[in-house]
Amino acid sequence: MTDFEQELRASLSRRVEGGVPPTSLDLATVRGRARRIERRRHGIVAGVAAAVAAVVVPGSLALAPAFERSDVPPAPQPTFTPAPTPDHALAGDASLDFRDLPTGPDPTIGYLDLSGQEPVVREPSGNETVLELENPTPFGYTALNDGRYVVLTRLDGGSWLVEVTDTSGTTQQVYETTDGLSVDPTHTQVAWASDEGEVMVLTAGVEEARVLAEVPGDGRVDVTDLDGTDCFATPEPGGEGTGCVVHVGTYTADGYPGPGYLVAGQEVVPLEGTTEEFLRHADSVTAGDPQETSWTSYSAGIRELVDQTNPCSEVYGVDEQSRESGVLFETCDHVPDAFSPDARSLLLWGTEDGGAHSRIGVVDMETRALRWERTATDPRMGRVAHAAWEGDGSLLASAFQGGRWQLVRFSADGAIERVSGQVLGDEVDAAFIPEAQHSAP
Amino acid sequence: MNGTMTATGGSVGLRPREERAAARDADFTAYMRSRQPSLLRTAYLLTGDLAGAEDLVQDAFAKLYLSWDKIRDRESLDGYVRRIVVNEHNSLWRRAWKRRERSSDAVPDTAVLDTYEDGEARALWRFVETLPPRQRAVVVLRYYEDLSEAEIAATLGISTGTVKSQASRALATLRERAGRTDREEER
Repeated sequence: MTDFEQELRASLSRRVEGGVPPTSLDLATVRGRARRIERRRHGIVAGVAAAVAAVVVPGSLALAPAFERSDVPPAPQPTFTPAPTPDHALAGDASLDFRDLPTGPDPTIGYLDLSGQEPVVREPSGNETVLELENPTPFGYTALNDGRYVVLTRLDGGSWLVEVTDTSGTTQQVYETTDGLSVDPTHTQVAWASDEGEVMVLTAGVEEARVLAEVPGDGRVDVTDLDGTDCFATPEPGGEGTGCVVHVGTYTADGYPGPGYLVAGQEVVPLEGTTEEFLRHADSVTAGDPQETSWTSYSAGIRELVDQTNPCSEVYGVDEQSRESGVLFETCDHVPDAFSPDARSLLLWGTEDGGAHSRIGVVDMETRALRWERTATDPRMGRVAHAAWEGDGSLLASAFQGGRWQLVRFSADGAIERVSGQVLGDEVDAAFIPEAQHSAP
Repeated sequence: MNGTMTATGGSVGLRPREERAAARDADFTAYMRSRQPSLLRTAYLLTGDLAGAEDLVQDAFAKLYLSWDKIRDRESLDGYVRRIVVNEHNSLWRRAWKRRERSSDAVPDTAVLDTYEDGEARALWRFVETLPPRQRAVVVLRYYEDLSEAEIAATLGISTGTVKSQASRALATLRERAGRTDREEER
């Protein structure tokens, strides 16, 4: 510790020694405050009921006979001319500016709308489900193909929880986790790590999550990727479409990245010394027929840290031309996140630390070059908090700028359009969260 | 052990309900009395004013009271209640920030005068007060609570990388505002 840090320590100690007189809280005071907190939580639910009633009443008026309504003829509707698309929304522009975006078609994946008093899942079908969670603040979610939602929430004290709802959106099970969750591409299974180092898997149609395997180590564990539709299947010779592969990262007791593991079926395989030994694995993808030359297989992740903070990442896989495995490209300017479902694109973020992202880009896996990239080059520009592949080419993302959140789409060529209204908020808590297609948060 | 907590939670005991509630309250009160002084000091370093710190601690204990039955690992209580204080402070700060839209970059005008009136320690504290909330929390947890980077990361719900970068930025800011240079540090 430097002299300056010693001074800082002494300064803080001196401050509290002289500035904080002893006080004594009693149980009655604390219980009174606890009751107020509970009433406030319940009041939120009551407020929603009142809001629903307020919406229903005008709706019933619309059904009343015409003669009960005003005889005043409807005012002529003004003719609107669509605003021209600003340059910053067009493909080829490199700025992260979300002002005055053109409106695009509705999202084709679901998203969580946190702009109201209760979290609401909005599906592409138009269905809306109000989530009744144990903890009020969701940080990410995905949907199982049996209609249940798996939501990442947080206790007041900071512990992460996985809440599994029924199809009506009410939490039925709560599991502790040390980090986020991963979902397979067909949304048949969701996996996360328990706080005791177990890989938990919840399968569509099965009520409770089950322990798939226990990962060695005494630190934190996190699941970074899940592929396959039945982790608990008994392997059969020649069997296809069963089993699963789970990528697991670990942290040492000091909080540093530790060895990674692959959980294949219920077997835990250390990745040390293999090409998959990333410091932090991000995503793996395969596409095409393994028997054909069209088959591709890629893995991306952080390979090393430079100066303890700046990460350098690699994408490893089968080269489509030479059909040989190797490092396809590396970058110390970006951090990989997720491959598109067709394995032709890779979502990247900038290497900035903490908060929403000020840089987002997509790599073309065929040319290994950036297909497009956008950066907030000015503090007044925007940030992106969450992004998920909406299809093979476009991304759905929650964007923040000028005190407002909105849901936007980055098209395959990098053009931007908005797909939601704008709501006021602060940069810390996103008002919209796209449904995780790979991992959350 | 499958890591499951049921949605309803709580354990089923054999004692009558009133007896269990009394034992629970006694248990909670004993914990609160033992932990209150140090928690108040931490809250004070986070908020900078006594009334705000007391309010924060009261809120934290109220939330702890509501969750008391759900906490299985009593050894983790200290970390748990500390997380409530720090995160509640951050959310309070965020609400205040939204209301006032103030900047935390401005250094109080009195800071330089304090250097002469009350010494370097007082001046340094005034500079700590100007740090953004997360950096200030990292500084308090690191240099007052003596927590490791991993413990700070767990408390704030951020990565250890973010803890390092936040601590580094905070120290750089404090050095700059205190008129120190890295060269002076090396001497």
